[in-house]
Amino acid sequence: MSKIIVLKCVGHNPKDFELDEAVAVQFGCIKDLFHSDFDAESKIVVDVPMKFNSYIIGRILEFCSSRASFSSDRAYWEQDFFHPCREPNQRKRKELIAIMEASEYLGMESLVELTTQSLANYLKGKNPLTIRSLWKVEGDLTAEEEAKALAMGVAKLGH
Amino acid sequence: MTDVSATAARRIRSRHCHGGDGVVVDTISGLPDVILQHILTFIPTKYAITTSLLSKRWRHVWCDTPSLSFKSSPTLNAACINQTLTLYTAPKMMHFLLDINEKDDVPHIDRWIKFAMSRNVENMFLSLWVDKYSFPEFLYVSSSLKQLTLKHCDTSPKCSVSWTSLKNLSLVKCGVSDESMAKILSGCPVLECLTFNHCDELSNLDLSRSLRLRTLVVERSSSATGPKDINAPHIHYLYLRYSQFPCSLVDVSSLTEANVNICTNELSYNARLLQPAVMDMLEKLQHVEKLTFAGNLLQVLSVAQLRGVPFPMFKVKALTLKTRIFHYIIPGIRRVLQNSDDLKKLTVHTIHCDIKLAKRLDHYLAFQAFNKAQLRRRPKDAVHWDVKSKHLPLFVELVLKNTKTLDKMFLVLDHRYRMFRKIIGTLSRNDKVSISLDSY
Repeated sequence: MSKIIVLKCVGHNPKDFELDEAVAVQFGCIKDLFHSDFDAESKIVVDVPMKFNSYIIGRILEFCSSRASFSSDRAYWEQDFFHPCREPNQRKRKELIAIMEASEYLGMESLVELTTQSLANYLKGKNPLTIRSLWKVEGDLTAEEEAKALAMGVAKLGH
Repeated sequence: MTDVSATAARRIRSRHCHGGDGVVVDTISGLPDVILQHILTFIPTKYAITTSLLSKRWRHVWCDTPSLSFKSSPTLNAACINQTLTLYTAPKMMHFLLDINEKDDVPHIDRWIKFAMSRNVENMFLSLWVDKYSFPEFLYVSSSLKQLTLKHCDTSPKCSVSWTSLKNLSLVKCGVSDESMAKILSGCPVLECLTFNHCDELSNLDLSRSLRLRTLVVERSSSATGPKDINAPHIHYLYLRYSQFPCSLVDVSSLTEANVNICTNELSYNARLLQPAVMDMLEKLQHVEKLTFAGNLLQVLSVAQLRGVPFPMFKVKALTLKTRIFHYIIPGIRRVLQNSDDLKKLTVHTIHCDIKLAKRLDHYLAFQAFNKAQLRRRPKDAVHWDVKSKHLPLFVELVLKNTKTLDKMFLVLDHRYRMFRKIIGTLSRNDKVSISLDSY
């Protein structure tokens, strides 16, 4: 109970997050620390790479706390957390990618799967022009390359 | 934006774009191939292919994605699938999904399965709702398959089965006999998880030789009868959902967790047949430390209690109840709690149960010369147990009165019970039991 893990976020908005055991064990890279041999009173500080800012880590911890609080059906509030059916703005989409990368780094497989699935929903069933405008992808195929792809029946399959 | 700055902006992506500096950048194309391919595994191949038209960067992402997924539709015919396979370049496949219901596709199915197996596929999902198709022999021999789901398939291997890496097998609405199942099991030495969903032909399920099997899931609809007997001495986790036809557990001595769900929405419910079978099953579950009783099971237990049937003593430490809170469950719950001397944690999910069974229960009990007053034990307890009354706090008090060692109680309430949230916190009279609330 007295083991404390601290996530230290640097960069844009530096902040330290203290995690209790119920939350920390959800991180693949951290849970082993709880079982290692060290003085029960000590604090372990984990430095988070600069590219994951404190806002993103905060969002991930929100997810973990909801998860730790009740160990039953999570499907309902997990759907709620990510709103995959909506079309949120550019900032939310960037946030989704950032959460995916950060949870990959921290070893949270379940959150990686959830965020990847949400990202997949933004690609599913949309034509290339819509995807390009959603994600600001610069279309740089030459006319020849595009025609080749279409000739191979790609666009037809895409409907 | 010129071409140069567009490229530069793309490279910077996740380092600065969270900072809200207002620069519009392409956040997704900058992700490594491995991650983009992982994203594409979640969508059907016909949509994944569309991404090759996005930009140069995206041209070859889909064809190296270790996953293919085809579902029959008016726009996806056999020719399309064959063409896609010629363009596909990934040497190794992790996931292959084939969902076919067109008879015109039948001549091609063998070739598609062979294609997947030639790429050492690990996870295969085949839903083949077509007539007159039986699997080729080569399907039954694979050292790469780890997870296999078969739906609407006639599964009767004529040759011997060798799925040496298979850990997870699911059969959904499949025609599979006891003999075929025995053949399959003998070819799966490392099988850990087995699921049967509406596999009616099964009768006696003998899992005694599946030494690594730990999880068994059996779902039977109201019209299904099989399997009737389950012999699974090595499993640790059992999920059993069935309706009026009894299921007998021969040997489940290694179980640590069981979830039993009886749903009897059918009018042809037979209490006389069901109740003794349920009590026999309870005998076999008395050593299990983690139990879940769901659906109408508690009502069946109430009938047993009122008929004076003896209940076993339970070693359960964590009990979950998924039920409607009304008077028909009270005798059963009271007896189960009284017989659980080691119970530490109780979780109650309120769900909406059909009340057809409850009405039938009245009819059955009347026929058996019981009446509603006996259900409520004493006039004092003659509470009208529905949402409008204060029955939920009364229920909580009933639990606290009938348990000795309880530490924690979780109540997961659906929207109809929201009004009780505020008062639940004040209910715990002794400091020993902590009560937590959640809702959905």
